Amino acid sequence: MKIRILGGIHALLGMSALVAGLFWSVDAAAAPPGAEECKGCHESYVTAFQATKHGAKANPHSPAANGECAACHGDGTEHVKAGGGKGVGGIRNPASKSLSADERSGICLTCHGGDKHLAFWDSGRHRKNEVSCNNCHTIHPVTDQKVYAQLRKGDPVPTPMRTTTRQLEFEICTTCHKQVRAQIGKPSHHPIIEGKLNCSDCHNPHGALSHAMVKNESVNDLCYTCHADKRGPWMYEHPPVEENCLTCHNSHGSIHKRLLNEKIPNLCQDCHDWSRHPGTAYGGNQGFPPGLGNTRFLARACVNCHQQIHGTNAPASKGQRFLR
Amino acid sequence: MKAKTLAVAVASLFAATAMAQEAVTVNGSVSVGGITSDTTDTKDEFKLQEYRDLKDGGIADVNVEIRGARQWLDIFGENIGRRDQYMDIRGGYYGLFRGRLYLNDIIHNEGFNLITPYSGVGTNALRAPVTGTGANGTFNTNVGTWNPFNLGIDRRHLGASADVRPASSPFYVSVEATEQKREGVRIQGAANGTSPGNGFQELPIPIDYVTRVVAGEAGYSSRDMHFALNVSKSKFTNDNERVTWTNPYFGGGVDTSTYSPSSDQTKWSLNGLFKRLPWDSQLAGRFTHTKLTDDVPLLAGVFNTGNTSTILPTPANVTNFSGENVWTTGSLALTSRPTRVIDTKFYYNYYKKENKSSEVVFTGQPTDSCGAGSGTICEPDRFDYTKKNWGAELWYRFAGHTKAIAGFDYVDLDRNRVDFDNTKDKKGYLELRTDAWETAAIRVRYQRLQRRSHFLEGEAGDNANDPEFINRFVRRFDASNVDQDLLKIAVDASIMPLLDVGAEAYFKHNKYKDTILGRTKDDRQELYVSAAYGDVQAWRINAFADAEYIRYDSTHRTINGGTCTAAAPNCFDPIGGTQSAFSFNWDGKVKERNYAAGIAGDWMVGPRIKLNAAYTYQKTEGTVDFSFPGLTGLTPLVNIPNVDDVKIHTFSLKAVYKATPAIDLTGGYAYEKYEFKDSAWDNYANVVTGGTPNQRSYLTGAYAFPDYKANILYVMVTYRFH
Repeated sequence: MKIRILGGIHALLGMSALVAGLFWSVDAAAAPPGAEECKGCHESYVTAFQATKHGAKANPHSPAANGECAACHGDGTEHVKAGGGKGVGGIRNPASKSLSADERSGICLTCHGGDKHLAFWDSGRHRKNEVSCNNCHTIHPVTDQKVYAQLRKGDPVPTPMRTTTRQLEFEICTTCHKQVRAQIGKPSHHPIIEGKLNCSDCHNPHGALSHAMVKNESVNDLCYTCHADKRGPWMYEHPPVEENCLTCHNSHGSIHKRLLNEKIPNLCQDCHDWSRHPGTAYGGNQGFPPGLGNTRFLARACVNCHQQIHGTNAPASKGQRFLR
Repeated sequence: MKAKTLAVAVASLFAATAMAQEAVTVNGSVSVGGITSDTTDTKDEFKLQEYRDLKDGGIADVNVEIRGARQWLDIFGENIGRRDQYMDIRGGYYGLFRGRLYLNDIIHNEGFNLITPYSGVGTNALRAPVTGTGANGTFNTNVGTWNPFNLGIDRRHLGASADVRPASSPFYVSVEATEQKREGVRIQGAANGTSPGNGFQELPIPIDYVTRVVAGEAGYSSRDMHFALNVSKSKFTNDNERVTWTNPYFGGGVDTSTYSPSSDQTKWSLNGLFKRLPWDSQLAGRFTHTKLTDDVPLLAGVFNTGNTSTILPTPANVTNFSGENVWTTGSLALTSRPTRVIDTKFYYNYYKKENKSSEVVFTGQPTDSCGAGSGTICEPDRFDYTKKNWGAELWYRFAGHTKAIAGFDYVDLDRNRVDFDNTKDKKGYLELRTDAWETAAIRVRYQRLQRRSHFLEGEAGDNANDPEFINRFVRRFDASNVDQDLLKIAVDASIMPLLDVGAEAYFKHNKYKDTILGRTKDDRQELYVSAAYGDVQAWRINAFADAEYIRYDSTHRTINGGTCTAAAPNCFDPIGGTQSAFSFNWDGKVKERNYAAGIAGDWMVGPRIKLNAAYTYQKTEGTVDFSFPGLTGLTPLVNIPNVDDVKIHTFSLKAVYKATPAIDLTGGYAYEKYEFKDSAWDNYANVVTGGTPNQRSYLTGAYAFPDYKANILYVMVTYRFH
């Protein structure tokens, strides 16, 4: 363990220093003063803003370099003259419910409209479903948690204890996607609630041409990015597998092992009926002895023998029946 | 290690020089602590530690933000040194460059202290001594002397990426390199014999996978248009494409199983987007071309069924299988807003998979037939398919924040499958959503899907005594005719200050209307409710409750013995054939009932103490009920009372005490209990007897004992610096 810790720290320092060293050797520009007028009344917001990349004046694209608070909130001259107040003097709150989702997003897209990550925003479901940037992102994050892309800080999330301290994406996404929230907590799930995978590892929340805004052209292409061992090419293919992983699996979670939609042998028997064992009914008395000890039912059922169900390069009947 | 040390030294030199030139602010924190867990009375704690490293030991986290006038660097490390460590370093130069390095270690524990009669676990040669000959051949059944091993995979995902885009330039270049390495042991089943009923083995096979991907993208992105050309190369390597193992059924001879082939993939993609067209339109398109190849020497022989160690050759027309799959895809989408109240979207997607792999022909051996009869020639099908999908959507905005959405989606899928060669899906939907009320938003969606397929096996088999005849009646649910109704209702409301509630309900019904044998219908009824109450600055509570009812109905036909008899003729006909103990139809009804609830809270007890607590409960219940319509006198099959039944309780409590402005003390406790019951796993045994000793199955204990009870404690000290 000690060696592992030292190795990890060493690697971390190495990677950090590498990045710092390679990209820190350019002369810095002097930082201009901040949005002091606004700070007089809105100190916590301005302080939080200044700590983000939005507040970096040296960034030529940042609000700080493009009018500071006014870049998003509009010209505050009249607002200041009037002594402040919600909406007074034409001041604009980009998170206000009085604005439509498109209007709210439009404020962000004033600067981010040319981002490659947002190129397909208009084609995506989120925009069509009245989701705006501020539903997921917060521009003034008052938090000591690690928050990438300035994700909103979610409510306390009822999940099992986890070993991560980061704000996790699923906490934001499942605010709306309640069915997914239920699925990712099921006994068989991808390590999303543990913080090892993010929703955005598979989906592009900013829009995509693909169904469900997955990052690849099809579900299978997406799954193969991590599960390359399933991609083949195989001499003996299992056609439903080649067409769609979701025929048998639920990628978000399931009560059945291996994220299966239904338990084996029932799942297999929904397609396979023939003489002998594919069409045989396996009852509750066919488990381990003192049951009948039927090897097509007990333990992992069909895959006790037909393990290579995603495809195989074994010859002849061994391959055809996915046995080797 | 030398290379790593050198990298640190060189990089540190750069960093030190650079930082000396400018004012830099450094903020962040470093945390150290320890964790311990108690799992007394737990046989196998793999489910507790499935994705979490909770072994006793130290914890270290780091979180640093460095800001220069024009550069930034974020360093984050979590669980450093543990099996589930995560590190993420992002940096950049404003207006020019952004880069990232990351390491994500993902564990997937699936069993601790499992046992196997095989030696050589972790290698691709699994061996076990066999005593007795022929039908009396057997492994050592004294499980106390078997070899222990841990089951699971350690995955290390390393990546680096860089984006270069000069300020005010619409052109950009991105590069990315990743490596995913998986190491460990996985259970793979293997049938002892070549025909069913001869037992099986659980093989603890070695996993040594590496997937390396290099990708580059060059593009142009502005507010008016976007173009990008992306090229990626992916190489997957499996060090154990074959594993040899002692097969007790075949006299202790060495058998061979084949596993995932190493492969290479090249992908090109071109995407583009025109914005600000007439009617506020956008035209988006994407084209991709992917080629995946492998080259695998074919196994020269297989075991026979003569219960000897003889290996029979499997004559094929080629010595190697050269796999080549090619995918070509295209997408086009036009979104418009012709008026202030109307949005439209028209889209077309094309997806084609071509299988250009070797045409392999095996001239079957009498004892290794590929088809129903013996001595047949078998030729693997090369599966191709082409999918064309188009659709249209219309959004209409009524006054007062109300919107109606209507859509139609059509899929035409051609495939070279033996049962269905064409499928046409027509999907229509209507959705109404409103947030006309200040405090509530409601969404109702109804969707109707109709799938019609071209069935090829209507004339299968010569007559009802031919086993192929039954294929006339089997409709596989993934491609069969189906009528689907889906209703989704969602409500989100702020019913009083600080209280938000939400609910989602799904009702889904699939009717596989022409299916005689196979899944005939399935239903889902799901309800998800959540509520959040509280003030961010003081205390908050978030809770949820879920209920799901799922049902699958199916009809099947049992034909014992494999051939019809004079007493039970036409046994492969589920409609006109006899209903007897020899051959009969049966119905299965799979029912699942899942419930879950949870509550979590944050409480700022005082200016220095913050508490967080969470409790979750989950219960799943599954059953399978059988019935035998029209059949009398048969001993009823025993219904399956427990299908993946699980009860989970989890509780966690965490307290953070701000001892000084710079130091936080964190303490946490968690309790978890997991109970599992399933009729297929009850009375689990490592040796399952067969008709003869050489038909015994030898199991490792994998997945058999997921129950656990755990108490977990951890403490951390966090030092913050500014």
